[in-house]
Amino acid sequence: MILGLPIHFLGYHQGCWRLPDVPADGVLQFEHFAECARIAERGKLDFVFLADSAAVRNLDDPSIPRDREHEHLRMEPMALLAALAMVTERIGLVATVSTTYNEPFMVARGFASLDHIAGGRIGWNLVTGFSRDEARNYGYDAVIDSDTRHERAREFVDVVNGLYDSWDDGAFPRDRATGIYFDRAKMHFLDHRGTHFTVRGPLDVQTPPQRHLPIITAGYSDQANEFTAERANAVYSAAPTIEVGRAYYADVKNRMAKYGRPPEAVTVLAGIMPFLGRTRQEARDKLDRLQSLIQPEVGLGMLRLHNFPDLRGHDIDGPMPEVALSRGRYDMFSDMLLERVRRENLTIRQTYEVIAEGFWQYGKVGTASDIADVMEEWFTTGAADGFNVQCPYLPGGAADFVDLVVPELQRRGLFRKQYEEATLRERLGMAPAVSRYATTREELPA
Amino acid sequence: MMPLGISLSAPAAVTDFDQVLAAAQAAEAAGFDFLCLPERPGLDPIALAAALAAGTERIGLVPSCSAPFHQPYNLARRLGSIDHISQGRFGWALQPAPPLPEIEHFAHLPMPASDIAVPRAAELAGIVAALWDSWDDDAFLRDKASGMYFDRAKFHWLNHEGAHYRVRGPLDTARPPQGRPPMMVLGGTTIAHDLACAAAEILHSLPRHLADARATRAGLQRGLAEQGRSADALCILAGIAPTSADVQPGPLRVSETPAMIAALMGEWRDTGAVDGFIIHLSDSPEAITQVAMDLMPALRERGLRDALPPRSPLRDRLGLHAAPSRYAA
Repeated sequence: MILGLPIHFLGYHQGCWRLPDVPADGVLQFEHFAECARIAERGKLDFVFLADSAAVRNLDDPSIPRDREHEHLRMEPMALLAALAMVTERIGLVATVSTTYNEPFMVARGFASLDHIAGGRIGWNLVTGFSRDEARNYGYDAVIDSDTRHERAREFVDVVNGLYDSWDDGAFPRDRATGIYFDRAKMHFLDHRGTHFTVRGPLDVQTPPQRHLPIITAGYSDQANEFTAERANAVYSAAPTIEVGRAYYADVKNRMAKYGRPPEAVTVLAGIMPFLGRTRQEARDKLDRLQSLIQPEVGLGMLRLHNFPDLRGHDIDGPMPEVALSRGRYDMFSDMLLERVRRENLTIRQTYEVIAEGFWQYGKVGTASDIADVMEEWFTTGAADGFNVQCPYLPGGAADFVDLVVPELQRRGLFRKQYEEATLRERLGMAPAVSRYATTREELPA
Repeated sequence: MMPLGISLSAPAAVTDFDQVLAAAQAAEAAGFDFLCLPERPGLDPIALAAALAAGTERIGLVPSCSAPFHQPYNLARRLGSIDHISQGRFGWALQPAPPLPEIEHFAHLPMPASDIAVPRAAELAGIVAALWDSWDDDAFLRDKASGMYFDRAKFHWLNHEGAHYRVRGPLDTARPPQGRPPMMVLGGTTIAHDLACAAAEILHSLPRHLADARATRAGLQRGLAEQGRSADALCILAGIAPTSADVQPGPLRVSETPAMIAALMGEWRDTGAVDGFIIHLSDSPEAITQVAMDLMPALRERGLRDALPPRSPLRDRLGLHAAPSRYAA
């Protein structure tokens, strides 16, 4: 079982920053991130993960009260990962980088450098950027369409992996006696000329320890799923029920055959949000405490982001009025949510509380054993190969998970007791990366 | 105190991070104010600076980057984050035009003609600095009781629409601890001096001799005045290298005797030709320690350096004025 811990903010529950033990300024304190990473490493987790979006989104929408939320200020992931590499030794480090607002040579150079600094522990969460707010920070008036973004992403990955292959193994004899620093026959110009990029190469950084860094994706569009099946090594899935989780899992794995890839080549990491206590009552109390910290304005903003209309002015403890959902990114989730609202006659407040307790990442309230049961079931019945552990609050939620759930998973033989593999690639079960030039080397001119 | 930096300038590619870390730690222990990480083949200078921010405690960190290949929003958040991680020890060097071979990795991008390289880089630097001011220093209430995280009246849309960039803002990170981490330009060319007068706070100059240094200072003062900037807005630091140092060409080679190097530094500084120096050395921690052991006592004797400088923001170490937000009352 693969376990990742996202640490880019103070927790996935909207009330988290108001808890007494959560450092409200932690998103700008390196020491907060370092502590989260050390906790994850203590638990032998596979990696920590920095989600990202290069904008403060929805800041100009008065129905979404960003000024009452903590998660819109952050540290830039590549800079933060480089620093985290200095305070950790074994854990994988995954940064989000968009292929839409970056240059492939820069990304290859940056990731190759990070992988050297971290000794082969770096992974790339590849995103194409869905947000108009982001687009407007890069000179665009609107987001480029999804087809074009994914076409660019494919070519981007080709260029980046091609640049990583610039140097064969053993290309640097650095022989003081002969004065030969590098072996010209083992260097390759990429000479890429494509639709979006023209890149000569070679990369001016030596081959990263992993050669090709693992690529993790997310997203629910048809384009995103196709991209995942074709190119990704792992994917974040989000599912409100195990049935949805299994359907997503099967969908991704079924798409892989046409790219000549075996199903195990993509690790599906389901989102799980553990509200954890030593007893069920303690877990329930924690959730209740967090729910009480969601300000109604924030709750209504959450509904807006799930395709609901602006419900300001309604009694939040009254029944959800007749609403027509708008169409957006996560239509399936908002439709399922509205079905549940109607089925259970939820009030407005109860509706946003359903989202907050883990709707489209799977929320579970209970003891370590309860949470391990869920993870075991998902893991053994075709819904997940691992989990993105989306703690409701940090760092305490991560410490609880590591101290309570990890030992339970170890006891069941589902999770490692010691780190064995050195690189993130190996930990994800990936074979060593082979250079695109490996089989043709003999044919190259001397 | 005379600002004194060090530039890791070995001609070979930077391949071994542990060596860079050891060099940075040696430079820190020796009392240098900051470490320049120039563009060289090998590990990316900005990634190095971010890692070194967590691997050092006192020394300033100044990586280089080439203007045409960076988006201002990306730069502002990455560099601002390093200032947060290092608690105010960060600066950056901007090259208006990249070396030719680099352009071949970006051939799909329209490359600015040489006559617009400076205005374009100045626009980029201006956007980065403006994005850093997106949030006022007191914008964050983080009031757990009331539930207010920030004050909506204390952030600023940038809405920049310039000749080369359009950026809406605001930045998604708070104002860096220094407000505006200082920007350096590597001198020696007309376009570098033009960019320095327009937008930089440090010029890493490469004079051949004292008269050259004085002429450079005079020219820069005229340029600063034309831009409406005061003469002390730009800290001029001359690059020098001991004759034995195995470094890339550029800096003035100076005599080996520590006393003579210190005497030269004192003379140049006292006549106002420069404000301080950047010593170019190879990446060897031993060489750094050796030079420092010889040179620092000679500089202390002349009153040019203290025993060990206090832990303070890079701006302070360079004698630069505080950088209040452009929106401050």
